[in-house]
Amino acid sequence: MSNLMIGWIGVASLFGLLAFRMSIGVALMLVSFVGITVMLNSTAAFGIVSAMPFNLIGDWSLTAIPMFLFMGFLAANTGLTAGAFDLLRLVLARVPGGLASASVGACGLFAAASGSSIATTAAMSRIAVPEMLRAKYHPSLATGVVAASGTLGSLIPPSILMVLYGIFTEQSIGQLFVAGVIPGALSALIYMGMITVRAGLNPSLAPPVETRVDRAELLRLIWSVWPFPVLVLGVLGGIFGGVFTPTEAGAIGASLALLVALLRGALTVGAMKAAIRQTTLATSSIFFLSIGAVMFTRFMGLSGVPRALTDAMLAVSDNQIVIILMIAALFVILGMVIDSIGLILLTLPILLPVLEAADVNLIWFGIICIKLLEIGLVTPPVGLNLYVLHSALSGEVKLRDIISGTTWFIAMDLLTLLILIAFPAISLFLPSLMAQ
Amino acid sequence: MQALFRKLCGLLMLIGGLGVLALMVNVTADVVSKFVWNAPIQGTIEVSSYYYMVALVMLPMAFVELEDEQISVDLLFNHFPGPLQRVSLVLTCLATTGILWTMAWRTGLDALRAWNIGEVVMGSREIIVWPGRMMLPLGFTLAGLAALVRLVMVLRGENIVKNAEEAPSA
Amino acid sequence: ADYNANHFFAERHSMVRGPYVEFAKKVSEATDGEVNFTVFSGGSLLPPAASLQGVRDGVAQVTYHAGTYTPAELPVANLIGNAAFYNTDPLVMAFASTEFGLTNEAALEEWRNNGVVFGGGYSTSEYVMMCNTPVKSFEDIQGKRLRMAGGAWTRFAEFVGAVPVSIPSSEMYTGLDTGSLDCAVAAADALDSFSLSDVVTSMNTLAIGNYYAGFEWGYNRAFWQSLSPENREVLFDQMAYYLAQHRVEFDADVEKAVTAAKSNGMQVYKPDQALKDALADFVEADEAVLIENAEKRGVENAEAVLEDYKKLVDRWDVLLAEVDRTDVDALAELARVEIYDQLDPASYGTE
Ligand code: NA
Ligand code: NA
Repeated sequence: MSNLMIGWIGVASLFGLLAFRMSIGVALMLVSFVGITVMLNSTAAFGIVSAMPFNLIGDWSLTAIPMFLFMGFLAANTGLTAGAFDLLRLVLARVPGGLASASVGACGLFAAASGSSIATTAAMSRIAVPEMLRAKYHPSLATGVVAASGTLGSLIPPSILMVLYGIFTEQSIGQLFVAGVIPGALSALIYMGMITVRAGLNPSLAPPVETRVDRAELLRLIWSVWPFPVLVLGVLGGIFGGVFTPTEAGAIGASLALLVALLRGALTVGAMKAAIRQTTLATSSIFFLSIGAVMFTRFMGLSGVPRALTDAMLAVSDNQIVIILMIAALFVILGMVIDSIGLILLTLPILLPVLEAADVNLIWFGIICIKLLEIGLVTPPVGLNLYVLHSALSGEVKLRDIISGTTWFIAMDLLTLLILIAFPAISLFLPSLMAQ
Repeated sequence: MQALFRKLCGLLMLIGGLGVLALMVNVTADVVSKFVWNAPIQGTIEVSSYYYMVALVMLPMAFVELEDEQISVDLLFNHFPGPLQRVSLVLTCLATTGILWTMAWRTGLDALRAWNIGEVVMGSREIIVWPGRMMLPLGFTLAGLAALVRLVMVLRGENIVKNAEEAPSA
Repeated sequence: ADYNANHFFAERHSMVRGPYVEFAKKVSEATDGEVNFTVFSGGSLLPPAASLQGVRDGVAQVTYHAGTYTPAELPVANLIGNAAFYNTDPLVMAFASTEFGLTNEAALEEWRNNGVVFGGGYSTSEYVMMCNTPVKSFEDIQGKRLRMAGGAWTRFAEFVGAVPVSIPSSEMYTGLDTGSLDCAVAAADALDSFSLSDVVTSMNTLAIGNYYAGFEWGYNRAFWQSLSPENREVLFDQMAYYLAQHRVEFDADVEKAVTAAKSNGMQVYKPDQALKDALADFVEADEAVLIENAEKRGVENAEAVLEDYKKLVDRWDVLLAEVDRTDVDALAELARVEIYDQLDPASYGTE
């Protein structure tokens, strides 16, 4: 049997095992281990077991994930951010789905402080989702919006994925960062537009809110808003002031949340214990799944599936637009089962010569590429953003609702993608200013 | 016996939780120290990555497995008839123990090897890392054992699906 | 047959482009497809810290390995790799460390113990300081946060009064951009390959060693032993060529990156005398630390091993003085005659 064949059988087995309710992490580990054993030998399979878990867990830049989760749990358990959302609810009372749109905005703001989509989702899920649920928003909308908006973390600078893309394509990371700003804002606006229209047509998704409050109540609300901006601006300011890096920002955010809760007298032993427990459970289960995901990416790489699929799809035409559309299809398919970093590492070496031959602007393609990788983050079975959200909510919302909630946002992502492909200037305008 | 095992898992979960605090305190102290005295706490990155994170991920693993908190999709499973559900759970638990003990075996050999050579990493300081590696076989072994405990529960007819879902929502 | 080759640098880097991508093609042609490497770059097969282990286990049949990731496994290689200030000519260090790895008894035993067959070394270009603030002198460097590669580099930073920071290379850009870092210490091709030129405003040309720890090609033992002597000879021949080629290409990339950055306004400073003196003092003081570290990790006669290496360095310093340093063929020929032709393809790596 050829390696390629084994690879495809592996993909099919993965879906089969998941149907039997095997945990995703175990299914990924099992298929990778057996697949590599059949393809090479058990020594090599053991070699992957030996190489992946310790190096993945020991990756410094991933420490931001538990720290942002902790920040979110602390903020939520001590009611730090409820005030901000209560006020937003009042201000946006007339806007259908106003809280969901506000969450998009909050994610976008947070994205500027975090280099990774998963960290952005980790921070925002616990802060925003319970507030929307409290306002009787439909769980799938409340979760879908954060799962999707969390992906702004990689599109809006700073961005670990852009740094990697810049290194592998030898493009300017600065230009990529700048190029991501407008597409990031555009994505957010399109999300908001969709939310407004959907919630307007179907008020049961996001029920209208009671807006009458007396003066005293309003003043109390305004006074209670401060912790949220303090948290976000503290983290943002620290990064842009050169005090700490986006990776360190997670720990600072958590410390800041702790400090604010302490100042407000909201920090109880119970809240603290619950936050630690929730962070621990979520981190352990997410990393367990991630270990499986990186093993599976190695299995895929060794099998040659991504290479073969890429070759086949690129052979169709040498027209620029056709190539990009084929790559989009390729990334959406492979993005289901391969993690985002693995996906660029495995495909870019094959894609680059083709893109260069077709004279594709690599900054423009970089933005398209990041947007595509982000879609992979919210498509099961390897869609880490979904699981971060699910874990952060301690199972309050069913995974199925989260998945169905994100489909609307994926549709919007595809729309944004078409706009970005049709109008390269959206991505290239700011970098062109920078070059002068 | 089972009660004892549960206690052990709960205890390790607690220690893992200390990793959260340690990570936050150490990184924050490093940032503050850099900002105020321009003197980083050397080794912060290495200790955070190879100790706090490893503890945080590996030690609670058995607890997570036992409590059915590992992430799974029950889209199709919910529509299975009762007997088929039980058969899948039995096979799933067995497979889980199998692969986790495979991982435990190899990471255990790695830990032994690391201990023998006194493994270190070279950051700003040399940091000993082999004790961190020991947590991998420990976590995988206990998580595999937790899956076996769940197997016994299924065979006894107990419900081990924690978030057993009601009819699909709209 | 199909085999896997692993390198954790990007495919376009001068250490992958020639020595892995082109190398794989040439080897496949010269062996009539009997040895056909699929190149996995960027760490898509093995993470940096696991390259050594991965090639031993046969996940890859050949790999690059940065030695400082495994100080305990490779004490001899790290003793040599950290002697990076003795002679900072990358060409000399690439050739000398290659000959050392292929012939020194202590080194050979170490490769054997780790399940690899050493094929050839490498060297980056000189490490220099690329900063977002002018660093010209010994005074300027005081308290500056320098991103360092660990080991001797970290000790150097502390020796001159700077603050060593050990962040991953992927965080250099953001660090320099926001100012949480003052300088990155790396080969200057990073101006392009890590796009540091966007955020670097000044460079100091003080040669802070160069990095050549570990190996450019390390083979899985079982794989190596399964090869016919003819095919091993093909590998020797190609490694000799790409040992020379990667040095020339690496320097060319550095040249290109520095020229481009200069035209975009980057200032280039020469170190002042005090800084140069500090480096010289450090090199002298650090030798004892190197030997002590190696002995602590079980290297017998560390001092003698280091002396052997220095002899090779001096030998290559002389040999390379008479060659055109941009002539790949001439350099490759020298590597063949002086190093690889001395090995017996029938027995090397089989004992
Ligand atoms: Na970001
Ligand atoms: Na996915």
